Amino acid sequence: MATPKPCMAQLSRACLQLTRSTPTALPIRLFSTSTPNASRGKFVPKTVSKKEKPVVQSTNKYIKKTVVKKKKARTTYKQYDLSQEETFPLLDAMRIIRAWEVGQKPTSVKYELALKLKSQKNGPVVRNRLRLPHPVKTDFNVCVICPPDSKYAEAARAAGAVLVGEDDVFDAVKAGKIEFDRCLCQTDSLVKMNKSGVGRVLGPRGMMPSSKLGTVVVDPVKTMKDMVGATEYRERMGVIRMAIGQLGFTPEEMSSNLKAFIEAVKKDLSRISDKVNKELVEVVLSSTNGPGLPLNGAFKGTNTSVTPKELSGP
Amino acid sequence: MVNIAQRMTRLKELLRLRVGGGAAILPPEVTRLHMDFVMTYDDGHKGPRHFWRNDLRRLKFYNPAVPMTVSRTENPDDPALMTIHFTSASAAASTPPPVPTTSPQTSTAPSSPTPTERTEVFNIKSRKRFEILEQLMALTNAKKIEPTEEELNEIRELNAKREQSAKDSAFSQKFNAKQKQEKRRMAIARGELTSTS
Repeated sequence: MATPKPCMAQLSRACLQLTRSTPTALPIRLFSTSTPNASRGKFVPKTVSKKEKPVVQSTNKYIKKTVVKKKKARTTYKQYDLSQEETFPLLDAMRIIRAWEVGQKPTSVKYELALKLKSQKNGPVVRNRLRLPHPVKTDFNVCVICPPDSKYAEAARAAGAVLVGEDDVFDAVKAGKIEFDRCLCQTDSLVKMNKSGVGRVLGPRGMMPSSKLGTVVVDPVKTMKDMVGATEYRERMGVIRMAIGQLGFTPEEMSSNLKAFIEAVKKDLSRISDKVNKELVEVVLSSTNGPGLPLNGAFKGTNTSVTPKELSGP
Repeated sequence: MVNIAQRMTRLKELLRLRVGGGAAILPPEVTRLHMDFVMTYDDGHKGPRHFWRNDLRRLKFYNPAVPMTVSRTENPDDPALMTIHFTSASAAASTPPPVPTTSPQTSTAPSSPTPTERTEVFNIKSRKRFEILEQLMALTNAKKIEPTEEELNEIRELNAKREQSAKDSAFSQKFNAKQKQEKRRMAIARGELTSTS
């Protein structure tokens, strides 16, 4: 009887032949790489398609690299070359604006001033309140919300508030009768006001009193006196804009208003600029419907033919 | 703020304030001009409005001391009138128009400080801008200001620029329309858009 050994050998040979006859890689090219990749084992680097292959950049210094860098967002507001700018003395600018606004009501049309700053897009902005030497708008109708029988109510009525009280004010506001431009609130009636729901009416008009805006105060009369003639200004998009006068103002009045405003802004700038550098770049005088005229700081130019007296009438 | 080049181009148009109809100096006898007309555009109130927007501005530019007022009413049946206030020649010669040193805060109806001796009123309804101007110039004996050679040159330059910009804009409009069409055609071919949408 034969031993089982040769038999085993035969068997193994037969197995080997069998494996040899069937190639490991299939002759058909597969579209998916996942099956061949898996068959190559866990730690073998994957075969990648041409698309997925990282592009090896040529080190030839004569070939210009065409790497498109992503453009960085600008952090400052754009500045222009002002050397070619045409500027006007104040009298000339006023003459042009008055001619442009002819026939308009002298009380409704306003002179406007735009101060362009050199400033960053982020960071602190100039924001302040100023009382001009010749206020642009003086006749505010003020409403004071305070307990009707308190001493504040009496004082507010005496100071010229249009509407004083609590419940009657809320009723009038909810009925849509708003005959005032500013609203102040005494601290004692703050809770009552917040509960009454007038915020839905006053909020969208920007008249809702809040301590943030300084319209919720202990003494409303004092604030009323401060508010008359004071105007707020703030920097938006690197420009401060403010109404600086009525059309009927004389050049002297305008010039004192301009000086006061620009000085106040410069003071604000110096207060801010320990961290960031802000500069005043350009001063442009305009009006409600008129053109914008860059000023050169002079009151009267060499070619100015008008006198301040001629520009004073209605 | 708006780009400086754009702003300076706009300022060039201030030339319109110096040159054109109404560029005239009124005699010192004229103390005030006043216009009355209706807010709405139609029914013969177009001419007065155009006069106000164009010629009155020039008149005011050359006569900054003369008050010029416009009152526009709501009722379409109201008349359209031009009123010219005169003072006597001697009064005009002796007192140059006195003006307040501070602005009157409550000046709803600005009154002329010089006493008015006579007024001329004429109808401006259903009349063209230049007709109104002609009559005004004839009544007041205003001295017309002719544009200088320099200003004429500037006007020519501005006109040339305007023509060129019209040409450029037509060209780029065409180009943009073509590009848009091409883009749309490609989108339809890719199946992102149907030809009807």
